[in-house]
Amino acid sequence: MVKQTILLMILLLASMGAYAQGGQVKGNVKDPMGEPVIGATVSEAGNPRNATVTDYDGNFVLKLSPKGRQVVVSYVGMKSQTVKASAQVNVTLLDDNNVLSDVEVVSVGYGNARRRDLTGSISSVGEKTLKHITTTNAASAITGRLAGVNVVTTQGSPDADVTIRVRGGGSITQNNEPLYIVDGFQVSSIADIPPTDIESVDVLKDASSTAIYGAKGANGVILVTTKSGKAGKTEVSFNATLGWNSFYNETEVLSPYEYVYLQRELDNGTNASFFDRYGRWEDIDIYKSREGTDWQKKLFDRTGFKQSYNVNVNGGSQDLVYSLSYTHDDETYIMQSSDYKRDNLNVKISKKFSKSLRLDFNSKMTYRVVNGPSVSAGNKLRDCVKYPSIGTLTDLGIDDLGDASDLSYENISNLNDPFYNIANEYKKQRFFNNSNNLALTWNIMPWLSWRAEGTYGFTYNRQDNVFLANTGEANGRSGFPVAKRQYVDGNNWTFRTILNFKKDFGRHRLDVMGGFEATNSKSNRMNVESDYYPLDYSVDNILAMWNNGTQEPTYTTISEPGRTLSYFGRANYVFDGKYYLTFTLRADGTNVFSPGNKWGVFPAFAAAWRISDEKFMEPAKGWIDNLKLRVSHGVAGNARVGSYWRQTYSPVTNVKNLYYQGEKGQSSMQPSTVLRNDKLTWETKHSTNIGLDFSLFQKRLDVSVDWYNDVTKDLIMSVQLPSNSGYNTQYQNLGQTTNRGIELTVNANLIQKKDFYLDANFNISFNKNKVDKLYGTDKDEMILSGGSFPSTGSDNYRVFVGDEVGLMYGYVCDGYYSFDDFTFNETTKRWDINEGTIDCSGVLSRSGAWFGPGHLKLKDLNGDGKVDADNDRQVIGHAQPKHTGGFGINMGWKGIDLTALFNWSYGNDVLNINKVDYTSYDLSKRYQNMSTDMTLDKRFTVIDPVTGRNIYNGEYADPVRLQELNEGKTMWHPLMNNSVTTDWAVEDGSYLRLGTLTLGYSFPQQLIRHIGAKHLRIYATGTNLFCITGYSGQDPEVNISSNNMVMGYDRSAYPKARSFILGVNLTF
Amino acid sequence: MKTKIFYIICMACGLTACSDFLDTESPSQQTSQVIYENEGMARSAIMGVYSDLAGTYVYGQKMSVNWQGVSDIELASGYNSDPSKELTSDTGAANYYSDWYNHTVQWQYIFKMAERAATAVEGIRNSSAFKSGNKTMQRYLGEALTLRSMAYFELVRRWGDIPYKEGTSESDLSNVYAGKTSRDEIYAALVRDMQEAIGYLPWMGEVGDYTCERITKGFAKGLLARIALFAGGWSIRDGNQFTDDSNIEHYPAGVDGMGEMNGFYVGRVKNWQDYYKIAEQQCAEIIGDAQNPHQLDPDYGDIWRTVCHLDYNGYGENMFEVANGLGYSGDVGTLMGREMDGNIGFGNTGWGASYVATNGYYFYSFTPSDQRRDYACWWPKFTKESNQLGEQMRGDMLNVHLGKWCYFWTSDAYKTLAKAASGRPNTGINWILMRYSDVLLMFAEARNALEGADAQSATAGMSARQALEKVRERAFGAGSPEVKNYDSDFFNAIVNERAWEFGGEGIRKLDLVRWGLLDKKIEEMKEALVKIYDGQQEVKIFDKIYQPNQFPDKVYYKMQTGSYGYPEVDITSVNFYRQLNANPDPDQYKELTWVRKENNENDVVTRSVRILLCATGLRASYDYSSLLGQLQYGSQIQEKLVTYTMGNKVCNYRHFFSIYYDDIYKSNGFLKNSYGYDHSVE
Repeated sequence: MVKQTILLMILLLASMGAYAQGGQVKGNVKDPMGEPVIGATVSEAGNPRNATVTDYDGNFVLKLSPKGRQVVVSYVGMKSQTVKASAQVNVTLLDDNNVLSDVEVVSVGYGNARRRDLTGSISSVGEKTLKHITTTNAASAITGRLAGVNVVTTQGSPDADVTIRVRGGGSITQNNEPLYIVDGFQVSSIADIPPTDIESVDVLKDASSTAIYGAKGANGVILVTTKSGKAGKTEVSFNATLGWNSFYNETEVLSPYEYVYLQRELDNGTNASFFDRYGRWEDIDIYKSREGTDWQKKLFDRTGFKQSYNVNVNGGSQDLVYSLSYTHDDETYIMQSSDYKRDNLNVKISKKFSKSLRLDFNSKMTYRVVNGPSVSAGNKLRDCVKYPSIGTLTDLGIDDLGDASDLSYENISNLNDPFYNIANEYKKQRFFNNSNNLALTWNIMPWLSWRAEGTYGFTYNRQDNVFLANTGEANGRSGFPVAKRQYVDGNNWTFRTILNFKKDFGRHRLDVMGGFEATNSKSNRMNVESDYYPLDYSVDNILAMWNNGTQEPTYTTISEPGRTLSYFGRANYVFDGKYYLTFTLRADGTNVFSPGNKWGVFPAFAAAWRISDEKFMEPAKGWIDNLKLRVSHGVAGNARVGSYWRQTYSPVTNVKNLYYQGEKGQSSMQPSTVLRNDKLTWETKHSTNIGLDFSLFQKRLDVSVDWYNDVTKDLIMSVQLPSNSGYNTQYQNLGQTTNRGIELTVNANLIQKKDFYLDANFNISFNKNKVDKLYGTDKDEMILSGGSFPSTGSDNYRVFVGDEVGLMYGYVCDGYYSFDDFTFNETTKRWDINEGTIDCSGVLSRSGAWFGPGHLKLKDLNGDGKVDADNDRQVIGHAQPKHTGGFGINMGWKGIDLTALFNWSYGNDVLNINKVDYTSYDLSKRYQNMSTDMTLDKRFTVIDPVTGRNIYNGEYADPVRLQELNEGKTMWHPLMNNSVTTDWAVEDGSYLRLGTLTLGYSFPQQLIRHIGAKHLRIYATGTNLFCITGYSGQDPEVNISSNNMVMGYDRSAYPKARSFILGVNLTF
Repeated sequence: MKTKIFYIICMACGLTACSDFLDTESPSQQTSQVIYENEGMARSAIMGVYSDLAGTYVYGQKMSVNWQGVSDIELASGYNSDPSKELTSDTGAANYYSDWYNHTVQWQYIFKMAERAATAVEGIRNSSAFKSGNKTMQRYLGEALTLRSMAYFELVRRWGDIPYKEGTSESDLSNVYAGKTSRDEIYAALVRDMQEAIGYLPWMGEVGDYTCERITKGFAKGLLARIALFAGGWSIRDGNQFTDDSNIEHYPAGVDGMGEMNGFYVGRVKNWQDYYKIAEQQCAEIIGDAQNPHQLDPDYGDIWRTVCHLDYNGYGENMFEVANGLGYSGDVGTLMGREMDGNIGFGNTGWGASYVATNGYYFYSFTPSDQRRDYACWWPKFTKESNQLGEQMRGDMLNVHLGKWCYFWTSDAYKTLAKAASGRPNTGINWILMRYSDVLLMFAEARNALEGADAQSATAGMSARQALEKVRERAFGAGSPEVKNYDSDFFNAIVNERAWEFGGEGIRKLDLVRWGLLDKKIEEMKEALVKIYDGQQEVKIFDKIYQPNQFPDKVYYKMQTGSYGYPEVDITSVNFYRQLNANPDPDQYKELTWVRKENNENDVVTRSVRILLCATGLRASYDYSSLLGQLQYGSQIQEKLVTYTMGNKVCNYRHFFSIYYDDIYKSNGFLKNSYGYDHSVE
């Protein structure tokens, strides 16, 4: 639609100079559906300068010159027609799909270009594709649709990040997110943009395209254009959807009987507290009839409903067009008590003051309310799996306590009651965001234009958090409720001015642009906290009577503004419409680096050659419509870090951490836990791209192939420091990586009949990542941790120079020790390791007398007879996929349309640490459930089912019976008190997902016309309908780590949902 | 027209492109250049370091409670059934079993405090306010220097050789990726820093809010003395990483459990006397100073009642207390102290858990008339039985509660909070880091080592003996013959006196370490306890010899109405020290099985095994056959004992903590565990 709008404007401009003499022709232009074509160009044949455009009703009047005999009627996307001039000419234009892609306009950053003129690598999704997608999130709307653009929904929660990675994202920078530009203005996220408002999405991938954004463009640029108004009749459209989400792939846990049996196995002494908790062993069969609580169901099996309504009004006159869109979304999620509401208002007005002066105004307003406790924080899913499904007979005593904490299940098992944890934490986040853009365009001369634009935006966010009993926060206040409120208000402005020179000199065309930009953003924060509310206060009481608690200090923060200053320019030179040259230069300054390191200069050049326009291609004209070769090389920068070049102090805001001299919390300041780096400077990405575009068979087949080589130097990353530094991390220019890959996009227009069409699309990307260098003290290795679990070998990721990132590192599992590996010692009543058996007790050092047959066995990689951390670990998994991609079909028959979009990832591993966690008795924490990987028929058992006694070691040891019982078991015994990262937890994360399936029906025009509607469509969509994968966890598309070098790490992620949506589009 | 446009553009640029557009700062997040020029902000920065003191991993919980470790008179959660299995918990570490996967003993937060203190030191030194002689800033510097020394002191005496740097962490990490510095170098630097700090600090009460919750001159001098004694004391050393031992005196060979192994040996600096001189001088200067605001609280019990009540000691006995906040920080009391059940009307979590507990051996080491005995060891438990609230006598020799902290002594505010709370409230009870009696005893110890027990010090105005007797005078009352009745070996007398004076205060284990007596004293305790249960022969406890019949089979005790209105055990009525063959008056006296359950072999064997397993991570290996040969059930004990692991196999006198795995791997190869903690020597 934007193409048409822009062309319309161009045409309007073109018509200004037209004048007529001689006879007058009146006429009307319609499309095949009988609708008037607005803005079609009608010109005198042989005298194209004499032309006019059709009005809102498709009518035109053209005065012909005395020589005029015929008129040419043309319109973008339709076949031109030449008809004989007469007093009344009625023309019906036919669609021409071939022309469209040629003149398709693509955003290139501070301007537009025709797709045919592009020199860089740009992927686009237009409205045509987007309209069949029904999600609330703009980012998920482009999943699997663009080659080289990898969209991963990391978790299924409402506030989950959707990470977008342009070309592998394997750049191991501190921030891999691309730059988001909406209608020319930078935004931090596109989460707030209703997909129904989006007209097109363009992704700039290579350095030549992104260089115009200089510093910010290193990770690619995503340009979103929202819908604008059209001159003509007022159009009203209404869209509504109703959908629901559901949970799938629950982790199966042990039954109550098996759980109790396991507890006996873990607590197998003669006078074990087990008997106080669960009764006599002889009665254990009672538990076979017990029904356990299914915590996963209780917490996550809610059907989430989502509703979305959108009204769009647009229209206008010759010199004023407007568009007004309002969207309301309301979603509940599969987890108890989490929901989401959003109101969005988008106003766009464009006013022409004169032939040369235009004012564009755009205002966006969003109000978002997210309800429900933070789901990514805490291990809610884990708690659901591991929390006992049944309780004990008696309360737990002080002897059951492991560490200095409260006396409760939670602290003995280190778990939280999954339900209380959710129900007793109230969290409401409100976000109000308003952004206003104003742009003035002045076409000073036909070849010179000037544009000044400014934006001013502000945000008001408020977050209320109340923690009632049984939440971690309340436990820190003796169990009394705690209430916290945070206000954040921020504002930002951007000012930009651009001068554009564009002129043809014979066969030479020159297009030069230069500009200046300054941005500023800042925010202030206020934190208010009260605690020690009466225990019987509810959330409502607290919110209504905040004063009834103990008031803690109020903290205010006026933060340092974020500022950039940039000068940029681009020169395009085209010779003969065949040879293209582009040169781009940008200089960026930012306040986050120390004086002397603030400025970066980023040049780029590109060239393209339209081979198909060459004479020697004439013979192929019949089947090759377009053949273009593109080459580009350039530098882009990345500086998205905070200001860390000075060591700054902040107040200590956790009241539990204050010093209470005279029983009064003293106001305190501490330096940040991030160590300053006064040498930190720009990360730069040197990128080379070679691309070939061709279309064949009357544009039935469009193919784009790109090869790229991106070298990222001075990678900025947050590096963990040794704790003796006194700091946690430091931002460093860490090293250099290379991403190299090939992308292929194919669009096929297979069938195009009056009543039937069939399109297919396919894209695939191969990316190979390599770490070239790590700077600093002769490091060729970097050790990283996925998380604090497991207790042994939590440093389970590595970066090696010369290898790719996302390497999982750990021990190699060798099943469990057999009875041949150990000999029972009748004196000590325990198992002695045999000479020649590989000893892994140095790594799994907590097993004590349980080190024997049935114990997990690790491989001795260096063959020294024992397993140790330095010599017996290796790379056990690769998180980077070999290729990713998507394919889909889009077909229609009469009014029925069907879209199916698949996406896949192949060859990537996932480190399923859940699997280890759900099968281990880590740190002797009892009262934890396990997954069915550890059922009795699978695991090695150490107690006699008849007597319930420990026959493994000690006084009742019975090696013969033990061996008999454990014939054919597949899993090791769970008694090792340790958990370890092994290749057993690495799984193939390849998948093929049916991302969306949409079936729609558009009612025939004749039927709806009499209700005054132009278009009425109903549809049903299913998202995430199935996922073919060998991964045993909930979903293979997962990563919970915020460290960019830790990839494919699954531990207690918020479960993903499957959803079904019904919707209606109605246009008047 | 063109010029017009350029004019506009230039104007637009000119508006914002001024050179300082990119020079920004946050008014709320200032740099040290701003902070240390302003007294108010400098105070907040100093408080930011103090706040680390009360942190969980510093004195809020770990160093006050969980890390006291097993000595002869202190235990972690009683006697463990198999401490060798507990490689990754505080309990394991307390019994000297640990390995580098043990995250419960990580040093991260102490280093953080050291660094924060170091930034304050650097900031103040560079400030013009300090340079121009501002007294407030000088005091802040004294505090910052002391806080930094405290952090490094705790690190070095708990981990040994550690990475150490003089200033703050450099932005280029040149002093961050660094190997271990020898403990001797670190101690020397700490002594130097403390000497400087003392010059800046006021006496307690001399200026404004310099109470016992702030660092003052007296504490700084006492701390310097303590540091000096450790600097000149024994510790296990790693001869593989520090090969030059020319300045080190090795521990005499041939002592059980102290032998050199795998390059690990016990040693101390050859010039240890220089350090003792510093200690002696600092203590003497406190004692003899006319301005000295510290003195002994004449009532030993008052120290504990006031601190539990969140009050300051009226005599300045407590030279420094870590200020915890009621409801916000501190677990002293709830995790160790006089035991009280939960859910009986005083809060649902109870009081006085046994994270640090003691034993009957400690109890019997006291002279019965020693006032300190019942603050060191408290037998009864406060509970509810048949709907009656009150004390009940308990008789588990292996798990005796500490008597210094009691629920009934706490403030009304705490009681109100605890009663309503659904969780365990932080008691806010301050952790006393040093008492005046410590200064007296350090003086006595150092002076005795240098000059003998009776040489008068002109500075202090007393001799070593007089200092010791001053402490004993409070314990027994002036004029009591017991004041002068102590071990004829003056050094032994100091060793014993410090045990009686400071039990449960986080002092004993580290004292024993520096004396080179940790292993010996723990083994003496174990031998005494198994012999008490054996009941066949005389038992040596400290300077006392007990005959089997001095440990009664049963105790008989009277109840009385206590000062808090509940029935309590009349401790004076209990026959702790003599066997009675029958209840003296069944109407008045209740009875309780004491040392022996009637001839219960099983019980004796189980208890003896637990006792012998205690702290066995300290030596490389153990052999109890000669001790067991003397015992009635020796062979039964031996039979059970062999089914457990004893000894760390690698190193004797392994009193240090392991360095956590995370800290090792983040060091880029600069750090390595010693003493076999990384399983590299086995």
